[in-house]
Amino acid sequence: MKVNFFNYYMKIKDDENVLISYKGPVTEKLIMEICSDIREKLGTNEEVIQKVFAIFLELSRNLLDYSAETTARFGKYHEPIGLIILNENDEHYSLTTGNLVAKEDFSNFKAKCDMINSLNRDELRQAKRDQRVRSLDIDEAADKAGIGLMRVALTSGSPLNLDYVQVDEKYSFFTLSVNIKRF
Amino acid sequence: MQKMKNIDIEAQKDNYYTPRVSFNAQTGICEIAGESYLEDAYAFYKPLKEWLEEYIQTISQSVTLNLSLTYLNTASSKSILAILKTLKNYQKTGGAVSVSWKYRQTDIDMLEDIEDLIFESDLPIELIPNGA
Repeated sequence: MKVNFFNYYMKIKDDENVLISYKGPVTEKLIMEICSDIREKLGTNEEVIQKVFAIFLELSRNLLDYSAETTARFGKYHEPIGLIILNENDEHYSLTTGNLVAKEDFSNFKAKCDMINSLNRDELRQAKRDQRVRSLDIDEAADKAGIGLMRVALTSGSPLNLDYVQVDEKYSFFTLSVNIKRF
Repeated sequence: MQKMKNIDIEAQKDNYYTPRVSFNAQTGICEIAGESYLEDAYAFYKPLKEWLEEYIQTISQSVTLNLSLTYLNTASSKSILAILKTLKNYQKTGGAVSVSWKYRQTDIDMLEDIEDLIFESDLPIELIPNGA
């Protein structure tokens, strides 16, 4: 496989700083490492650090649950493959995760994001309350991503930015990006 | 009657964040503290909920749940809600229940999530900012 790293590098805007950039197998261990990185690198604003930390954990959980691509082809481990990027500029941090996802999961996922983005804060809190109460009576798996994404939107106070490319008939590659105000 | 065992779990930070747990059958004082990021939160919290159910059935004394959880992933928050609902049911049948939650004063998101859990469980929780 040929990867044009120069192109990728140059695409990063001048006013943005890359704090974390990772593509590869995503494991719990890696997630914990990135968590401590976030706490070390993000300065002293506790409130903002906690937001980035909480959002990162939800998005990476999502990645683990949904990624349709794993390392299984080459090794004994079935580790989900994904992309994790944390950027900063003067105004905000931006967290992005990306992974390959099955078509049916994707349409489900996109519908959830669209619904969440259409609600104002009060509506979103109400929707989260309703769904968490309902979740106690239904199968754990049936509820994947819903409440987590609502919490991401509430914590960030900004929309869920979804971008995607259909890779083939079965899979799409999508990125989910969220901004967190620095101050 | 067989005596109920206490639960004591040390906090852990390895591949997950596991909170510290201390449930005392003699005093009815139950504490969960720290950060809760667990893949299988259900498996972690299920014994805690069952402990409370047994305590309610067999000992039937007051329950004081002191939470000082500073982070909850979504799965953990569902399990906490299930525990709060168990206590709410106990309270409805006349059980003495009191719940408090210490949170970081700067963490408005956590505060909002606790407020939402109060609505969802219909159980009052004393909010204690900044661990004071």
